[in-house]
Amino acid sequence: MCDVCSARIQCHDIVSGACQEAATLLGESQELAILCAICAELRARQLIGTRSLETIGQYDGFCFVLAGKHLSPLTYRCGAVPAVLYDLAVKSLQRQQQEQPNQAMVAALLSKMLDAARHSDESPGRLESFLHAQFTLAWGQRSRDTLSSAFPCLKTNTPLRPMEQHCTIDYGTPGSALQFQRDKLAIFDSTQSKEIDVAAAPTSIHFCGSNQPAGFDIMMFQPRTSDSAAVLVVIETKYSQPSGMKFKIERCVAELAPFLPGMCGGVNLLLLLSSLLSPLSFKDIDSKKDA
Amino acid sequence: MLDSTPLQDMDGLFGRYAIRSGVPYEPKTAQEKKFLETKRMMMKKKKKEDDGEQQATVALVSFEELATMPTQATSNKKLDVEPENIYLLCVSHQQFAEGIRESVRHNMGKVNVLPSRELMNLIGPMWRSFPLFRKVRANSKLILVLEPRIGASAAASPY
Repeated sequence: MCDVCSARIQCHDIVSGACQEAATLLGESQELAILCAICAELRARQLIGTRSLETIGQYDGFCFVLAGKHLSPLTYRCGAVPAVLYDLAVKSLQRQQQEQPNQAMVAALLSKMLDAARHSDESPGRLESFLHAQFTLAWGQRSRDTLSSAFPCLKTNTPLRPMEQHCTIDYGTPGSALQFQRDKLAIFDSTQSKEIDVAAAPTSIHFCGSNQPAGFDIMMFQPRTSDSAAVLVVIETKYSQPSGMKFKIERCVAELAPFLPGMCGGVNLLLLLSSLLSPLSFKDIDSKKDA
Repeated sequence: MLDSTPLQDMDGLFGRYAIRSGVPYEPKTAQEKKFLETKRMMMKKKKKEDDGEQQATVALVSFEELATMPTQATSNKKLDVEPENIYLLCVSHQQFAEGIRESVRHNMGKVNVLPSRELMNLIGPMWRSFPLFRKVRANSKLILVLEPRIGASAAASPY
């Protein structure tokens, strides 16, 4: 029996049996599904919806484990039986595609993660798909609501808001995919047959395919608000040439430059490159330039 | 009878006819010809403009070429983000990532390498058992795909 058939039968058996309560709860609470999928860490006294973590943890199908080493539980890590998540994703996608686009988005990302993770071949595409879905779901959620909590190696507490738009571009680069439509920088998502205004809401784009790949695999953009500055994170999901780091950075800068303010001139481009290559902050470089 | 039997698409069959309200005819009246010609010209003009736009703004050039280009007029085709808020994140599963991490952090400012241990911690323990990540945990024991963990056994051995 193939992997997929076996998994589906297993899902069905589990969900129709012992994990019925979990399936119902996850179906009711989109946030709970997301927090379990991204294994978010929550404080013991926090609520999801109207339920405490303690209550939810008593239902079959959930795995709430201690995240710290304290004797009294301070933080829990949320988890669920993957089969329930898978079942939820498949059912939700069918049911909600027309009615509730936002919930359909979560279901699509859950499916994407589980489909990618279930295969053992180490093709870069699967890892990219998984990480794109993971990071998109996690961005701005509880316990991943700042840049440093979403990506621990980035030491900035810029607040993040949940992603509202996502798309996958096959065989594309920013140059070929980002278009100017009706005074807006937009990208056409062929899977959803719609145009996405990149600057309208937090957006993640997965550039996949081996023909003319972008200098990075995932681009996550959060537009500015009155409270916080805009953030752009570009991600290379499988980096294997540390000696070629400078080349990688140059390529990313070259890819992004046409879409960044004031980057058409060589000076600003070099400034951006310098800020990425040196430990000095951009402001330091700017002041040196002025001096 | 006519209602239940769809008419053949004469245009599709012969390339000369069209069906309008169930009547096959040749769409070559002077008015239609003028309309088609205008439409064709507009499409041609639009394609030309799009091509020109594409070349002017998103054509791929080498970094050296880009860096030496003179400053051009401001365009609206921008992601409104300050350079200091742009981050490049490289994810690596290789062993050498542990070694180069400090050096990259020290020498390359905003460029970071996320080693597999941190990545797996970020993604969450639940995903470690999946085939995609087995090689990341070479020493871990094999766990079945979508393995059910229910009730008490889940509490005792959550992942």
